[in-house]
Amino acid sequence: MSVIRKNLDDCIGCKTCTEICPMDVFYFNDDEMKSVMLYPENCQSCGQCYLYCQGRSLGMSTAQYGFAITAGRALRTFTELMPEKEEKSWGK
Amino acid sequence: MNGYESAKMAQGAYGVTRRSFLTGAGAAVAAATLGMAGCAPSTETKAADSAAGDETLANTGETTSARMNAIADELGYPGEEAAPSETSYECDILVVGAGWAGLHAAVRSARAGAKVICVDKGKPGYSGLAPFSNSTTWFDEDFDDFEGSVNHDQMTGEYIANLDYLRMYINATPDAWALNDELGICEQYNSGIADGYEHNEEYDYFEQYRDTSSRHAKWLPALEDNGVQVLTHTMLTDVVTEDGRVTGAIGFQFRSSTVVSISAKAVILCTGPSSIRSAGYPTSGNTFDGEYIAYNLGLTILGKEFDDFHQTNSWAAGDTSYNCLWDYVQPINPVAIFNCVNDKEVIDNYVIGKGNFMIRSRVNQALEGVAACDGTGLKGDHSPEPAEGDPRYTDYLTNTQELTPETKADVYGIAAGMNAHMCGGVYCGWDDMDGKTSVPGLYVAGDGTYGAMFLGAMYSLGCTTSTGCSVMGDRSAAAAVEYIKDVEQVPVSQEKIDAATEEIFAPSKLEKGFDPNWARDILNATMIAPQVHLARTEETLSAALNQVEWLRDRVVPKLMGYSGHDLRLCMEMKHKVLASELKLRVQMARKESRGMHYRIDFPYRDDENFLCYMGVRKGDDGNPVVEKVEIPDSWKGDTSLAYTDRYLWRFPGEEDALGLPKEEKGGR
Repeated sequence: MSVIRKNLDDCIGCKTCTEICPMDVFYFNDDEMKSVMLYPENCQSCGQCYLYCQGRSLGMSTAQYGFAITAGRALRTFTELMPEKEEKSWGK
Repeated sequence: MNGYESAKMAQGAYGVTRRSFLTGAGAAVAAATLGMAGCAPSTETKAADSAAGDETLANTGETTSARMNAIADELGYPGEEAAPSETSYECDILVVGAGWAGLHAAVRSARAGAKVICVDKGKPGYSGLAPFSNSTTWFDEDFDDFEGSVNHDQMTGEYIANLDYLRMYINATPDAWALNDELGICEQYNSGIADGYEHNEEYDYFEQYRDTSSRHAKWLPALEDNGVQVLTHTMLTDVVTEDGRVTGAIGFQFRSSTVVSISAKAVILCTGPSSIRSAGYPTSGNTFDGEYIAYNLGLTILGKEFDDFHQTNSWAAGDTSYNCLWDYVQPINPVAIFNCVNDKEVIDNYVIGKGNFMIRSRVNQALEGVAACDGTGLKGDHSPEPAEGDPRYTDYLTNTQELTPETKADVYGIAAGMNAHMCGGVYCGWDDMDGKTSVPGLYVAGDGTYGAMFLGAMYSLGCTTSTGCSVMGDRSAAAAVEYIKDVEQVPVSQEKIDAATEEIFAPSKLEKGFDPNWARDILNATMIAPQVHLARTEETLSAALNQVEWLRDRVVPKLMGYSGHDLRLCMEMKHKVLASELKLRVQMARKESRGMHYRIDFPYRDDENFLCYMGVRKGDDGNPVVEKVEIPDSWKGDTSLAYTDRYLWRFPGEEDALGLPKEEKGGR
């Protein structure tokens, strides 16, 4: 959870972070030629992306974001992957 | 609009809907690209460049508003990758994992003429623990002490170390090292930093190294240049057997949600040591995948009770960059470990030192707490000191510098759930030295996967992991190459592929359930608690087992995932929950303390009942069975010695439990 994006403008689209991250944090936007830090919650702070980033676009932070421990939590996904909702009728 | 909204807008253009995802047709899902024309990141979401209350972040020197701008700029979901052009593969030998063991298994097999495929969950050289090795060793007969090394290992390992394997291993290390040297993955260089690196990001010196000498970048070419076909970003989900013998495997290329099948005459599992944590120690890409497969094939797993000893620091507990990262990018430094002088006083001091450092300090923390820390004074020295005249050190090594001297660790449990190095894996019988399992065609090699147990109950001889794994890879390759000579190729049956596909995609069929990341947090809170992870009782283990069984029965079946990434997480949670259940059961069964396993209620070694291993396997009714695995008497040392002459350091509470004289306070 420690990788951060310092400046997306500095990303040169080399895809190194996308290829080497062992936790599948990064995907790639071919049209914008930028990596996408899609799953930072799975970052294990190994720092390889930071060290190997050719554009110096990434950083490492000791601040970590987490969710409170709760009795359950829904899957966090992307709007594209949500099920199409049926219209509900609330009648009797 | 922001990145997420622009992605949603373009949904119609590339048609990635949940319906198309649920068909499991990875190729259909991934074929389209995201149309982002006209959707440049908006400036409306940026924070003011200098807002009131804007702070400067100490570690990067940037302002918080600049940080928020960066977050707002991140692009949204770009869709999955294109499916691989091939989804059905065939080879002689399939190697699972591309670390020290997998690299050797694959290269040696290929050089022996086999057609080899190597599957890795990430990119070789950057995945698993292999990227983070910072030392290695091999035996030099002119400089080292063979029997001294064996005696150090026997006593430090608390008399259950496999000394037969150890002797073979020591002699095999020069050849294993020679291949690593040839492949250039242990190349030394003048890395270094300017003075005062601490917490800044001046990586000019590292950049020079990155572009010219990175050993990580050499790993994949080392495989491919030796004729190994490598499948990256593919998680192995099943080893397939027909009529009791291996016919291949099934995997999941998660970045494109594609199921792949590999017909193979033999499979060598090199899936490494695993942990349940997700941040802080770079092992968490390894999630007991090999152990899960081996367990479900009926194999016995050893060593689950012997914990890893690595530390993080209180100040940034989940963040390895302040503990290990910079070290881990170093070149490999050979460290002489076999020059273990065969002298009783030397050995005794070594044993006591290891006991204090690795065991007493960690269990004392669980019982007494840790000193307060303000984040300063975090100094440490990870540079190994060579013994004078050590032939493994050359002139240029002496110029190697740490990337930062500002590392220090004070809290244990950074790799929770992980075995101590080389202290766990599949049991293949004590006559075996090749990792040959009882499933014809299935071999195991490497840390956490092959339970040769040559270090015993703790990490007795340091720096032995990388060549240990290399030797295991070498021997499994030789054995597999012989085995395949009489074996026919059999395709992986479509029925098995369909069954595996259904299981992989099951989490995508759920409308209600749980986030696998949430389940990870619950499991971590259960297993990393000090009374489970470090200092255990029957009650604390039993309570944890109740929690884990709930996860197994009521949470794992309800884990949800709508992307390949999330489906990987769901499978990983399933594997972690099983591994945790097995660990707890073994720890409950070993009613003593020994090495990296400490029980408050049995704070002493019980040679009469537990001078053995505790193996766990899947019983006929599907439930785990824990059984003793006896060891040869030749490993046990002199059992007629006084207890305090066999075991030189005390667990907390051991003196009282056994009525021993109190010793001077030692350890941290």
